[in-house]
Formats: sequence, C-alpha cells, structure tokens
Amino acid sequence: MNLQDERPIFVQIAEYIEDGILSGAFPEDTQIPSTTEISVWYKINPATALKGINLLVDENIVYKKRGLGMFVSTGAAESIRRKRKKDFFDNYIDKVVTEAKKLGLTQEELAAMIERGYDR
Amino acid sequence: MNIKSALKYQIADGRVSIPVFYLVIFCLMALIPISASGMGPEDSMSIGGFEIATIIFLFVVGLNSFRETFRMMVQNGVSRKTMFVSFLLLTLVLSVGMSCINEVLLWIGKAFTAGKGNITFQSVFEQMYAPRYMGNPDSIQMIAEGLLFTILACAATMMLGYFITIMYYRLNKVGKIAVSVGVPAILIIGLPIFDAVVTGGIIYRALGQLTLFAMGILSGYNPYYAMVSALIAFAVLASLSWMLARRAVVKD
Amino acid sequence: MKGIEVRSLDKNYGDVRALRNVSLTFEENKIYGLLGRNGAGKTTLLNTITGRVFPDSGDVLVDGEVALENDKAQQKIFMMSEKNFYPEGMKVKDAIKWTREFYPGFDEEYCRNLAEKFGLNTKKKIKSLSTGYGSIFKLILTLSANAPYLFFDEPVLGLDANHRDMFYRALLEKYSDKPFTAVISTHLIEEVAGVIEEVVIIKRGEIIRNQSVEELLETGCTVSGTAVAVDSAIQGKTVLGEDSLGGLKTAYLAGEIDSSTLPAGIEIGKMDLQKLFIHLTNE
Repeated sequence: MNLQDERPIFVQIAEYIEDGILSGAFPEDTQIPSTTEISVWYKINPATALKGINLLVDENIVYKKRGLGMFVSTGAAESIRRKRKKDFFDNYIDKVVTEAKKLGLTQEELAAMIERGYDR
Repeated sequence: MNIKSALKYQIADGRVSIPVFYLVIFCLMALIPISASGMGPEDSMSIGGFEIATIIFLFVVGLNSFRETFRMMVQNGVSRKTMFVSFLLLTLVLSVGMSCINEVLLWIGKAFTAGKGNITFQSVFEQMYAPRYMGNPDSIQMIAEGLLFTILACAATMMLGYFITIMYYRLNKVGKIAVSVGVPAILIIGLPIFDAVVTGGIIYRALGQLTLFAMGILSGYNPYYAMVSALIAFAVLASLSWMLARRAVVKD
Repeated sequence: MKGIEVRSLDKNYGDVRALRNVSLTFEENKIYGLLGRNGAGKTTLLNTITGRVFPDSGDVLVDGEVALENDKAQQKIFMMSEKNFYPEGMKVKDAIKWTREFYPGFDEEYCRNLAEKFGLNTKKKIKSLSTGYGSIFKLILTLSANAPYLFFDEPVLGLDANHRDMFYRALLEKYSDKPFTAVISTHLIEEVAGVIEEVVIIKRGEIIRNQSVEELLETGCTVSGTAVAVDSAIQGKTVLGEDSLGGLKTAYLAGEIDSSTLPAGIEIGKMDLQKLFIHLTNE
C-alpha cells in the first residue's frame, strides 16, 4: 500500500484489508489486524485506522466480536469481488470506452486489443 | 508534594559539595595537633572562625541555587512559587544543620585544645561578644546564643547569594555590566573619595557606628541586636528575591 | 472541562508580535499537529502554556484550572523542548530519576525499554549526547512521563530515518494503549500528516487554521492542465498559490471546484497537507 496515494488514507486502509481477504491472508471468521496494529504499522492515527475498518463494517465485510476484535464475515470475499467488479466497470471500462471513442476505435478493434492484452 | 520533591532535588544538589566542604574542615582541624606539637612554650595560638567558612560556603550555595534549578523546575512543571518556598526551606535546613555541625566542631576543637594554655579555640561569635560571657564562658547560654547567631548569619548570607544570582539572571547585558562595574566603583572608589573630600569622613563614621549598633556592640555586646539585624536582612533579601523570581522567564 | 483552553494570548518580544490574540483548545486524547514556519510562534505558544514565559495578556486553562504558576495544572503537562533544560553535568539516568520524582505517573520500566530500543546510553551526560540522541533522550522522557498532555517541540530534530520511524510508532503504540493529548510542533509536515488528527497552523503569531486534517484537506483541491485552461477554470475562486512549468500550470484552491463544468484536459487533484501548508504560509 502506498499512503502517498491521492485517495484518503482510511479508504486505502479498507482496501488493504479487502486485499488480504481476497488473497486468503484473512480467511472467513478469522481476526483481522487490530486498529492499534494497523495504526502503528502504517504510522497513522488510530482514528483513521478505525475509520477504514468501519467502512468495512458498514459493508458487512467484517464484524465485531465483543471483547475480541474484528472478524471477517462469511461470504466477505465474494461480496468484495462483486463490488470490485462493479468498480472495475465504473472506473476502467467506462474510461477505456470513452478514450477508444476519442481515438475512433470501433468496438471490434477495442475487443481485439483487449484480447491482445490477454495474450501477452 | 511538589515542595517536597523540589526540596529533595535542591538538597541532592549539595550531596557532593557539602561532604567535600567538611572533608576540608576536618583536614584543617587535624592540622591543629600537628602544628601545636611544633610550638615552643613561649608561642601562643588562637584558632577559630570555622563558622566564617560555613557562612561563605552557604553564600556560594546561594549563588549557585537559581539558574540551573529554575530551568530544571520549569522543565518539570514546578511553579516559581514552589521553587522559591523550597529554597526557603533549603536555607532553613542548611543553616540549622550546618550551624549545629559547626557547634559540634567547636566543642571538639575546644576539647582537643583544653588544658593547653597557649592555644585557644574560639568562634568568631565568642571573640566578638567576649565581654558578655566574661563571667561564665562556655555556658549553655553562650552555646544557645552562639548557635542562634550562626543560624541567622548563615541564612542571611545564603539569601544574599540567592538575591545576587537572581538579580544577575534578570538583568540584561547592559544592566549586568552596570551593576558589576557600578557597585564596586561606588563602594571602593566613589564613596571613600566623596566622604574624604566633601563630607569629611562623616559617612564612614556613621556607617561604622551603624554597624556597631546593628551588631549590638554599642548596647553592651548584646548579640540579639545582631540576630534581629540578620533577620531583617534576610527578610528584605528574601522579599527582593521573590519579586525578581516570580517574573523570571526561561532564557535561551 | 477537560482539555487545554488557550484564551486570547498576546505576546510581544520588543517589536515582534510573537502571538496575536491566540485562542484555541487542545481537546482530550487527540493528536495535534502545530504547524508553522520557523519563527511563526510555535515554541512561544507552547512555552506560554507551560509557564516558561509569561503572556502579555490572555490566559490558559488546563482542565478548567488556571495554568500559570499552578503546580497542579502544570504537572499534567510534560513538554519536550527543543532546548535543553537539564543541568550542565546531569547524566541521563539522573534526569530519569528526577522526572520520576516530579511526575508520579512516570513509567520507569517503559522508559528503560525504550532507551534500550533506541540505543540510548543512560550513563552518559546529557550534554555529551549528539543532537539526535539529545532529542531521543527527551522523547523517551516525554513518552514515559504518563502525563495527560504531552508537548513535542520539534521532536525529530537530528533523528535519522530509522529513529524517526521508531518514534512515530512508539508514540502511536503508547497512544493506542492509553490515550493522551499530544501536540507535535514541527515543520516536517509530510511525516506527521498521517499521525495527527487535528491541525493548527500558525503564521506570524496568528492561528490561520484550526481544524481536523480531514476537514482541512476537504476544503482544498489542486487544478492542473494548460495554463490557459487552468486560468479560466479557476476564475472567481480563492487561489492559494500556483506552480507553473512551461505552459503547464497547477493551481491550489481553497475550496471545491465543480468538475462537471471543466473543460477537457484539466485534472482535479486532492490537496495534501504539505502543499496546503506551503501555500497557506507563504509570505
């Protein structure tokens, strides 16, 4: 994770945990790092770390076990994948298509380029 | 709580200098029998005035009790008031403590030299107020009055040292030079010349009389005059010191 | 009321107005960044709160009590000064001993561990420490004091990258463990940007910003593109500053800009604390 990234730090923190869930580093029903651990590791204010985690709580990706800490929800990986696919479309495909139109590429030509990208 | 800590700190400040001071004093006392053994029957020797050493020592302690202590206290969240009160307590502790030790030393010295007719071991106090104790030397009254006298003299000089050091701390560069040059110039050169040329010695005679009066010599060698004088000097110096200390600020 | 309340402080040094009508509150259990250029008044503000110097007017309350010449209030604050306030010949371990005497909450074990971690030789005289270790010594004392309000005046002065890293981590660990109010006065902003929650920006003795980092960053943005396009886009906006490189330009705005109305080729970026600070405090 690169905290020099333009997006707010707490968003990046949430993404870092999501990445961990996707990669299997934090399997379902296991504990994720505590606010303190995240705060100390990334040298950020605990309030920011908490805000990042709360983002995931709101999306039901993690849940709180009283007195124990935060745990990965059942089906979390799946819902992250779903969300990211949607984001992928909004953030990348949209832009790619807009730019392709600007360059006068047809839909077929663009599809061919994407295929070429897969072959590499 | 804070006063206790501040006092503890200031006492600890003297944990090296005070033992060194007494080491020197003991060495000096040890010299007495040695030098006495070299004396012929015609020779005589008068020893004493150790309390002057104590007084000078405490004057120096006073001189060294502000600058670093103030910075240390400020760093540790101690107010100027607490610092000042703790210094008053330090004055009390050291004046009483060291005067008592002085009294003990005096009696050790007297015991050593007793029976040796040509050696006298006396305090300055005894020498100054000798006529008062003519009939009963070394009485309880003399010990008590001598002790009280030493305590007050110690306290007043220690406070004088403290006052001088705070005054220098508060003065700016120009002020420091003005005081360093001005005060000695007036006392050593200006006043004597003025007195000799203009007032024809009246000032010095008056000062002499005042000193004798303040010391109680004029009133039949009464040491209580001196004690009250020391007490007044202490009170005046303490008030002035507080006025300066309460607005002291940390300098770079 | 908990917290440190500063009310209309004024302080002059001769002709220099070091503090001008400064009012602010350091709330309980928050980490503040006190940011300002050299000579802006950061140290004077902290020195006034801790009674090292007197204000010309105004006052300071600590948990509702007047702070000036009040032992009880001052004992709640531990300030790490840039300058050394310890006696000439004092050793590190003696300073530790005396800090424990004056701050009853002082955590000696933590202090010893931290000293070991940083490689601070406690047998050395304070005076003989290098600039970096001088800072480390004071940092360790401050973190160990266990006072509810900790002031750090230029805490990382002379520290190498590793030690700076260790300091920020130690601070956050301690803070997570048992929260306190920390005020970090610095001009090295990038490093503390993530650590601090609240930011106070001081310029020539005046507080010009006092809000949460998040809020502050939300109130600004950068606009970049060709000089012509940028100039037209930022018309009527409050511009804090501009950087140009050839025909390209970046403008720093105080406030939002509506991206939907912008011409093509213009990019809107997030303001970062460092940039914002530089443009806010430029003379």
